[in-house]
Amino acid sequence: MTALIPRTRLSHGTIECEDCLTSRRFYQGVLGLGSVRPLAEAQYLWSGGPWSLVCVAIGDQPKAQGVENRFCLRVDTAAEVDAARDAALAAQADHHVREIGPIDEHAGVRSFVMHDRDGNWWEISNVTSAYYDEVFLRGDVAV
Amino acid sequence: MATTQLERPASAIRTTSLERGTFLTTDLVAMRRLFEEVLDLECVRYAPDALYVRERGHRPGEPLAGQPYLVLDVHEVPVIANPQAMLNHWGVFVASQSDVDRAYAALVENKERYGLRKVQKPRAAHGAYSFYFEDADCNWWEVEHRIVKRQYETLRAIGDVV
Repeated sequence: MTALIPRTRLSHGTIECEDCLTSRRFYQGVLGLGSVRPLAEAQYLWSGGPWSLVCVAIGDQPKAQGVENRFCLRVDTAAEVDAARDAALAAQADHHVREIGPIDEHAGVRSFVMHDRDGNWWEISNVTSAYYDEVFLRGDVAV
Repeated sequence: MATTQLERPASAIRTTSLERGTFLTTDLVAMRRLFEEVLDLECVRYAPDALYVRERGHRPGEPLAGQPYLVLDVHEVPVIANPQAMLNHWGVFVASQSDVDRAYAALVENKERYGLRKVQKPRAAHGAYSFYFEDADCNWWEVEHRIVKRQYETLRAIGDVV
């Protein structure tokens, strides 16, 4: 069966911020994302692939997201997850980070979440691309 | 002044990839039909209540094998407490403006079949030609085509224009 919209590529997700320059300090300086501003009201964030995260400045406090709507960033090792959380705690006050969760560990993957000043949630983990490759190869679990 | 990736300052956290985005559905089976039958994406049910989604072509021996990909992580819940708005959408790229028009016509024709709440008309803005639609769970999607000089990787190379 041919899909209604064949041969698509996932190109972007989208988040909101109050002010591009303020949020950019956090995205670049803390999260390590690339950022470019092709428009006054938006910046395009990226890391590690051709897809982007479009961040639109709405000039007002965005609606806070729930943690179930989050973006996940990879670091190389479990130790770097711990170091990342320490770095996030050190940057929390300066960047008005609302919340930083505890370290969670599941099947060798360490992670934590944080809730930024604009109400967006981020997860930092050491999950590898090989993990996703294996899951897709393994196929569906029995339901 | 242009700011490119090469000029990025050292960050507090040394992330290497934006690898995954997460969202919710109230019907994993219906959502999977949308991904596979409409958006032509690959799905795997990695837990009874959760699905990973990626673009096609990354399996061993396929054209994109070994290249990085973005993963969507979808969880099924009884009720979505925080419905998403249009400015929290996901985008898929198609190869031409004509493909956008064909996609729009196909979704209008199949709107009820896939439980779509809204399908907006295509329009051109900032070098992109696209339309938005809202699925049955209030998740928003953009089907877009961009001319080469407005594609995301090109814009990174150009740097800031404001």
